[in-house]
Order: sequence, then C-alpha cells, then structure tokens
Amino acid sequence: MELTRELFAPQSAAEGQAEAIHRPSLTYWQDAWRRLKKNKMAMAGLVVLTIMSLMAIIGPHMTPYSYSDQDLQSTVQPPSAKHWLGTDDLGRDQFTRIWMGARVSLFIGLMAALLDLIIGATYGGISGYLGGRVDDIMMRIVEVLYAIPFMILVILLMVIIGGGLFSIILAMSITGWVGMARLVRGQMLQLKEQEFVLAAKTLGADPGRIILRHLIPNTMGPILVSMTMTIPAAIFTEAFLSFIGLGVRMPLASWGTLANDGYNLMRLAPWMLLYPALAIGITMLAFNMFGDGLRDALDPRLRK
Amino acid sequence: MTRYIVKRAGYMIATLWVIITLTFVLMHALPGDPFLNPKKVPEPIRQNMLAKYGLDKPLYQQYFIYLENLSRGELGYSLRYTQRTVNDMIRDGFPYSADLGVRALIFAITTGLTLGIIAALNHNRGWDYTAMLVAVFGVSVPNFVVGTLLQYLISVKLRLLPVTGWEGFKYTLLPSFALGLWTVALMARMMRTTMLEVLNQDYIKTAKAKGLSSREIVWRHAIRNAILPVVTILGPLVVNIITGTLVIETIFAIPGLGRYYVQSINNLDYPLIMGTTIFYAALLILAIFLVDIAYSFIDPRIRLVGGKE
Repeated sequence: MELTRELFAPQSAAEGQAEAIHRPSLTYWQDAWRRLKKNKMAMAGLVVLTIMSLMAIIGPHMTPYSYSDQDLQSTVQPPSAKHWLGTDDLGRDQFTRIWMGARVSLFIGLMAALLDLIIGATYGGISGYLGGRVDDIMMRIVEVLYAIPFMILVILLMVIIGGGLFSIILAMSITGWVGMARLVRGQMLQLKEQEFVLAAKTLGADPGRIILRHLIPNTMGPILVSMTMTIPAAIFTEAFLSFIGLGVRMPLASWGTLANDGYNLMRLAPWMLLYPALAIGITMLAFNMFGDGLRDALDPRLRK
Repeated sequence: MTRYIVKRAGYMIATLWVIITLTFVLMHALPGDPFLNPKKVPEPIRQNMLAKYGLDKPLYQQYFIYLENLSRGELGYSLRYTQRTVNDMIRDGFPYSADLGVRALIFAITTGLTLGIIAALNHNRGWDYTAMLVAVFGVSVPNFVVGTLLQYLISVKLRLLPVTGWEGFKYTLLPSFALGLWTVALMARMMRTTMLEVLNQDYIKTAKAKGLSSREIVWRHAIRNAILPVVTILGPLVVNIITGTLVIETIFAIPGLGRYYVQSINNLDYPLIMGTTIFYAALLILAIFLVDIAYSFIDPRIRLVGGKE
C-alpha cells in the first residue's frame, strides 16, 4: 500500500506522562524476593526447610521420651503408636532422635557456614580492600590452602582433636573459609573503585567502616548464595564423618550417626536406616532447590 | 605455557609441604608417645623402641628424618600390626580402590554426559525434566545413603546381586553406581548448561543453514564445543570419587585402601592414619594438577590467560 503523508499524525507529547513511574520502585532485596516467590521449586525448598527447622525445635518435645532415654525392654521396635518411628537397639525413641539429629545437623551446618562467613569475609575483605602487596601475600597463602584436599584435612583434624560437636565445626571451619575469602575478595576488588566508596572516603570514613558498612552489604547477594551451598555441604561432611566413625559423641545423635546406626542394624530393622536417610535426602534436596532459586533471583546477570 | 605449568607445580609442592608439615606437627602434638600402652613395656625395651623409630632425638631432627623417609617413599608404619607399613597397605589396597574408582568414573562420565545432552536437546520437555530430576536427586543424596539403601533393596531383599565383596563383575555394579551417582548428577547439569549455550551460538545456525543433518550438527559441532568446559570440573569430581571410596569400600566390604583407612581411623592407629593421609593428599593434589594442565592443553583460551598472569 502507498504510504502518504496523511496517514501520519504527530504524537502529542502528553506532559510528563512518558516519564512517569507507574509502579512503586523496588529495592534490590524486594526485587529479588519478588522473583524468588515466582520460582515454585525454590519456594517448595524454602517451605521444606522451614518445616525442618521448626521440627528441629519442637520435634524432640513432641514425645514423652528424651533422646537419650534407654528402654532395654523394647529394643529395635518397628514404628508403632507408642514409638512413631520405632526404637533403636538401646530402646531409644527414633522420632525423638531424628529431630534431635536435625538439631545437631542443622546447627553444625549453620555454624560452619557462619564461621566460614566471618573468617572468610574478614580475610577476603581486608585483602581485597588493601590490595597491592598485602593482597598478593594474602592470596598466595589462600591459594596454597585452597589446594589442600578439604575432606582429608578435616579427617586428620578430627582424628587429632577427637570427635564431638564443636570439633566438627572447628575442623570444617579451619579450611572452609578459603572459598569465601576468594569470593569476597573478588567482589571487593570490583566494588572498591565505585563512587560511593570514594564518597565515603571523602566524608572521612575509616577503612573498617567502609568495609563493614558499605562494601560487605553490597556483596551480600553472592555471599548468601554461597552460604546456601555451604550449609548443605557441611551437613553432608558431618554425615560422612559420622559414618566413618568420627562424628558427634554418644548419646548425642546427628543424621549421620543415625544413618550409621541404622546401617549396622539394616537387616534387622531397615526403617532405622530409611528415616535418617530420608531426612538427609529431603533436606539436601530442599537446600539445592532453594539455593538454585536464590542464585537466579539474586544474580543480576540473569535478569531479563 | 611452560611458565603456567611451572607456577602450578610450585603451588602443588608448596601445598604438599604444608600438609606434610601439618601432619608432622599434629602427630607430635598428641600427648604421650606410642609406647605408653597399658601393657607396661619394660623401660629398656621402651628406650630401644624409641631409638628404633628415632623418637629419642630432638624434634627438628625427627622432622628431617621424617622428610627424608618420605622422599624415599616410606610413608610410615602401623602401631597395631607391627608387620604392616603404609606402603604395604597401599600396595594391597590401592589396586582395588583404583579399579572401583575408574569404574565409577567411567559410569559417571558416560551416563552424565548422555543425560546432559538428552536434556539439552529436549529443552523444557519431558526428557529434560526427567534428566534434571535425576541430577537434583543425585547431588542431594549422600553416597553412603545410596549405597546402603541399594544394598538393602537389591541385594538383601531382592537377592539380585551379591551383598558385599569384590570377586567379579556382579560385585562391582552396586558400588560403582553408588560411588558415581553424585558425579553423574553434576556432569549432567554442567553438560546441559554448556550444551544449551552452544546450541544458541551462531555457528550452529550456520551449520543448519548449510543444510547439515541435525545428527551431524549435534555430534560434530555442538557436543565437541560443549564438552570443553565440562573438563574443568573433572578435578573436583576425581576428588569426590577418591574420598567417596572411603565409605563405599566400607559399606561393600571391598578390600581397598579406603576401607583400611577407615579401619585405621577407628583403631586410632596414628602413624598409619598420617601416612595414608599424606598419600591421599598427594594423590588428590596431583589429580587436580594434571586436570588443570590437561585443560590448558585442550583449551587454548586458558593458555593465553595463564601466560599473561
């Protein structure tokens, strides 16, 4: 068809309309939360994790038994109305022990991730912020440590300092912070050249304040994503250690020691292996789903 | 390139030295000495024993003797079994562990890559979801859980495969599967991601425009390019397989090094633990080093980055 002049009309510039903002502006975190909410898998993971944490708190109190009460009259019972998930070879209530184990496993995961964060963020923050020669030396040390096989060192430390809740956390944190340090340093190097840091410096803020108040909060996204990976990895490591006999001490239980106990009684009472295995599997699955969703929600490069 | 290798080798040696020194320090930080057992060794015999193992010398001399022994490949001796050394254990057990590890790795790489490729070619369709479900499941369930549950279901209940032991092909199936599953999952995820990236590249469009069959495009253009980044995760994968042998060998009673290691941990046989730890550490560090070097040979882009550093 022929395009003639009459077909075109000038667009009246409605005053300011084009520039108006129609929706409320969102902060980075609101925006991320909005995207996370849309991700069904991630939300399912979050719900499962919430339930697990709640049960870790109230679960051990839902039965009349304590996690260490032995009842030698009723050992290795199958699940029943009296003992919902049965009893172990010392007659201890499995339901109570599973949720006690949840407490221990989740606590270990959280503490290990938190210690990694504190040590790693401090080390990486200082290294990245100062830069130059200090950074060089600090990163050389990190590279050597980074190459040490994690599991081997943890096993070695556990053999020396002995089993127990806090030695597991300690052993995992001695090496675990290295990855976090590298991550935080990388972020620091990018951020410290930006204008808001210059502004803070001009206003007379000391380096400690700049790192803590300005730089670290801006690296929270990648740090959080990395933590959703560290927590399950720590739970995994603890389960592994417990399974080879280096876990928390009796009568305390973790999912790893419960699985190990269950393994030893497998032919007699397969459910004793099944329930801790399920608990570990479901929690890992939830962490993975939530972590993947969180990464998608927080990673600005994936924004479409 | 040479500079890159030399630099990486330098780090490797530094890391090994840190581990060896740490092991030595930790071993000597333990209270008491190995002959303080309840059986009350008579004092002269104790002195002789200490002299035999060089434990009467000052610490720094012991350190050098220790390094010297290590350089000759002598990794230490057992306290429990006087005739056994770490070298014996490695000679006896490692072939089994290596056999199991290689089987698991082959299973994992082939299955993982296939799953990843199938998932990418059927992006957002049934096969994709199935493959990714397997992948998420695989990284979520610890290998000892997979191992023990399979052992119970398939061997104890259904009696399809032998429960434990290592005497023939039938015995290798469950351990290899349990050991490799995590790797399958990781491989499949990684392969799917890189494959999807490659399939969106312009050269794939060009190949289509040229009129190549989709089979040729997939085999000659897509897979070849997508497989490169996957090689980078081989290092961590080998590490995972090696540490995984500890539990898998224990569960399936395979007479490999991992099982001996776990036993020496439970016996608190410190010299044996230390020696084996150093062996494992060296093995793992070497594996990662080799993978890194191999990768820089395969992918010229890495070589450039490494050379500039």
